[in-house]
Amino acid sequence: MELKKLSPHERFELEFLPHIEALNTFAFHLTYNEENAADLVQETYLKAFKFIDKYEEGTNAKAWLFKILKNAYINDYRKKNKRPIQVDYEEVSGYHDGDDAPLASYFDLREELFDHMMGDEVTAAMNSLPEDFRTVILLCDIEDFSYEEISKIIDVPIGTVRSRLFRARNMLKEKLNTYAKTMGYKDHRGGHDDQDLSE
Amino acid sequence: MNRIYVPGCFWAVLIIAFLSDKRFCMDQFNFAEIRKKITSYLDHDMSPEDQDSFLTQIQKDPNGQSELIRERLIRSKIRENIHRPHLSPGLVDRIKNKIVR
Repeated sequence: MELKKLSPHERFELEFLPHIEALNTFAFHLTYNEENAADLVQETYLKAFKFIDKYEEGTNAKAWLFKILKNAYINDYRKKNKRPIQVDYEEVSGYHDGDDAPLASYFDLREELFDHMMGDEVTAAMNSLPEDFRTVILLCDIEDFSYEEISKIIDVPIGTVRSRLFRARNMLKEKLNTYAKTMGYKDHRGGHDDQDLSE
Repeated sequence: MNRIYVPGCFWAVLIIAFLSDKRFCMDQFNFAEIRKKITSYLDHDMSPEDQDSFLTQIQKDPNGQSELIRERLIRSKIRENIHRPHLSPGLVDRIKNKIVR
């Protein structure tokens, strides 16, 4: 089926609406509130429809919608709710954001750690991260966007995406390890019962 | 001049220790490299050519393969455990109704 022959309403339903659940999850983790998340998602879709002519058919509808949502959150929601502007941690620490920014992964997390969780620890750990860091993890690890897509969505250079992701993953690992420890999980690697969970 | 006699086995032990340490360092280096590549691969931060060569490399490396599987598993655990709120009832209809107007 050729998308160009469809009406804007048909295109909207076919290309945009399938992403509503992903947008809702992202909005929830930005606003921490299901009702506000639904409002933000609605606003995103109304804006997307208003500017549907600017969207190139068959390109990355999901990334485009996420960018609209992120902008709506910054420009409308955050102002309305008078949420304080967060400090840019990279600027404060002078952290480099070049192309050679280090990569972080979850290699040093133990998979058994998740067996000891009740379900909301990951959400709590995620939501406790500063907004800029939470955003890159949500976009990369939850929504599987590439660095380039994330860079366009949040409007920062790819090097900054890399460095934020590096710090965000390290923060998340630290928080998950702390949760695991408080629940009595012990890492038995190397026969040390009390070994630190991060290497 | 007094000469200190050092038994041959001492030198042998020293050489073995030196070589195994070097080997250990190389293993650590390769391990760090493969982890870096796994992260780039899973983060879609590789060119198609690099992706092909990574996949060829990882097929010959059982340790690398198990690292890749483990990293994928951890990421999927994080994905599974994140809260995904249900869509507010009627949200889709509300949006559709608004764009019709």
